[in-house]
Amino acid sequence: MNREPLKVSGIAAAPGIAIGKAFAHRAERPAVSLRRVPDYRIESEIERFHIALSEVCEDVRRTRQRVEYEQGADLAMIFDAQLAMLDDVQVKDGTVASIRSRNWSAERAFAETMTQLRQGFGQIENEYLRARVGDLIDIEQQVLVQLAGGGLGLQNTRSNTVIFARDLLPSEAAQLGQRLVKGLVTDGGGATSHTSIIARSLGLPTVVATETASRLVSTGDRVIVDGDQGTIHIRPDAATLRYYRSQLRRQLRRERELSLRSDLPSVTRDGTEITLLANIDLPQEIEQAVANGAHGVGMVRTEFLYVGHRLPSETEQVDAYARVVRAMAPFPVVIRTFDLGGDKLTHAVDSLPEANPFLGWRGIRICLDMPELFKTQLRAILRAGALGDARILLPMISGLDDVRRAREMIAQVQGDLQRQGIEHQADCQVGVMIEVPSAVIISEQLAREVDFFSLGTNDLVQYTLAVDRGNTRVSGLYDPLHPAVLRLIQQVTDNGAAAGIPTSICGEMAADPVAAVILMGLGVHLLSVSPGQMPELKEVVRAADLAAAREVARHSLGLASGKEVRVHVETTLKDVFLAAKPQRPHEAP
Amino acid sequence: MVEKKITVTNVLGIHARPATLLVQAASRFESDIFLSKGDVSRINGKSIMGVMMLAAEKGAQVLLEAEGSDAEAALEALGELLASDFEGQI
Repeated sequence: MNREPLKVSGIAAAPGIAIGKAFAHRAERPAVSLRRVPDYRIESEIERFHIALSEVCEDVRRTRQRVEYEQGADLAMIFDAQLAMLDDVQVKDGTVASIRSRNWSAERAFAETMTQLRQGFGQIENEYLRARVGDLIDIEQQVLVQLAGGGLGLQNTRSNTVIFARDLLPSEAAQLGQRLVKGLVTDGGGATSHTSIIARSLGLPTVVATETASRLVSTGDRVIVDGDQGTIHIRPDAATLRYYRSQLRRQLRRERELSLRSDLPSVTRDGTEITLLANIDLPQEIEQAVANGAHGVGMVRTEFLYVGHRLPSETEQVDAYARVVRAMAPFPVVIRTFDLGGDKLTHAVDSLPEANPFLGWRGIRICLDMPELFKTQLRAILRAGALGDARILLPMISGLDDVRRAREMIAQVQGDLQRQGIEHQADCQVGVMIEVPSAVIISEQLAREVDFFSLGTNDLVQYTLAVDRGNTRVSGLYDPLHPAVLRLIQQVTDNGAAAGIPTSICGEMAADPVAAVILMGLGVHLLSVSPGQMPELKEVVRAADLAAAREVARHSLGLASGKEVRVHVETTLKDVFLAAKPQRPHEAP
Repeated sequence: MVEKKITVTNVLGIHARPATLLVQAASRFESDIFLSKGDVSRINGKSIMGVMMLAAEKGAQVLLEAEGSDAEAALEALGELLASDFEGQI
């Protein structure tokens, strides 16, 4: 292994600097212990092997689910073969026999069994089958890692750990909210993937899409994650380390300053109040949102409830929503009904592989086709609303008909709760996500039938510019500051204002200081970002002048590209950004 | 014990996916299932490793054996699957 200092670049996914020791997740094959197992421990050693196998099966099943969602059912079939291999009698019997008769450790017995099987595969004449040896190596690796401590293996990590992984599931990323983990680096992913969103909300400096980092690092290496520049330094030299140590001190000082300012109001220099709201992925994030002074929740993503192995019951949902609504009262909590594709709901619906999931059966379309599924969630939201102010946000609305049918169901559910004498919120506001261009075009009509608009710019940008942000060949074209996007936003806020309803934004765009200023100038006075991003955003608001923001926004609508818009805003309002976020003194090494 | 000779018709032979399907189907029966081909004899039909190592290509003659209480039913179901192109099942 190369011991020289290395610098690796990726995409900056969550800001901040982390200095720590690398923990390579599944990047290395753990050493196989040659210890002898005493007779009295044989049964528990066998038990340990079986538990590791079932944990890995569970893991493969989840990967399969994700691959099926992202790549389609055909590719997911690969994992069926892996699952069958993990369940294979030869694998199980061979390993158990060696533990029992030779007193070998589970690791050694399993590795030996797999080596024999690999040799058998190597002799197969059929080239296609011989290639399946890759699957054998893959599951062998996973089981050995599992036996060595399991999953992320976090129980074996020390403090100041930076996790390196090929990829992480959002659920795995969510587990990283432990003090021990300081940063995250993945080979895959993008800035707007769910894993990145969660990393940002946990305040973990994160770099994604490095392609190679997890293979270049060894567990225990000293590493630096620069989540602002999108770079990673592996085994840095002394000068680099000195530079980042001083940056880290500045960062900590800044955080302390910001926390002292958390009580200051979110008001522009010329006295307009800009309401700062929090986006919540998991109910436990509400505490940080309250601590950072959120005046409401702009969006609770409810997908976390639906990605398990079964559908959440009404009670489970009431509990999850109530936790957020109660903590935020009397401020409003906007709950977005689940926005998943049918392939994520295989436990509830018969889904078919789709060629274009982004243009497919998802969001409100599933809800309207599966009224029982939808009504359970609506009941839960209305019941949680009794503890404060819950509001319903409908995703993927593309026409008036969607709204009318959804409102009809909400009215039915309200009637049911009334009749059954169950406590609930009777006057629940209903709003729509503006994320499909057709919704912008009819926003004048929509505004008469809903209580609020919420701009979902992540999807609106994709649909408007015809760019898949996950496709690296075109992701450079994904640009929230594109004048076409800004014009759409203008149209929405104008139509909302004319009808007297507010427009908020819950897209990632709001956390970008330049975009935030333009949004304020375009008339968006409710900004919803991850709890961790609120303090910095408030500094931007407090440094901005609304009249000047209106002026740069107006000018931006006529510019040629998002790049021009950024340059224009940054140069015109230099003082705002300097005041909001002091620049670094030197270029990063 | 009952047995049956079958010719593999799937173009790619019993590769990973058909092997997975065959093992899944075999595991549903209480009977022991064995497959033989040429000089490879009596591999366990409920083991994907075994079935894959059999490397049965298109046109291969496979001897299918079943031994146990539901041997007849197993032989019929698995024989049908082996002789099919598997595509309907995938």
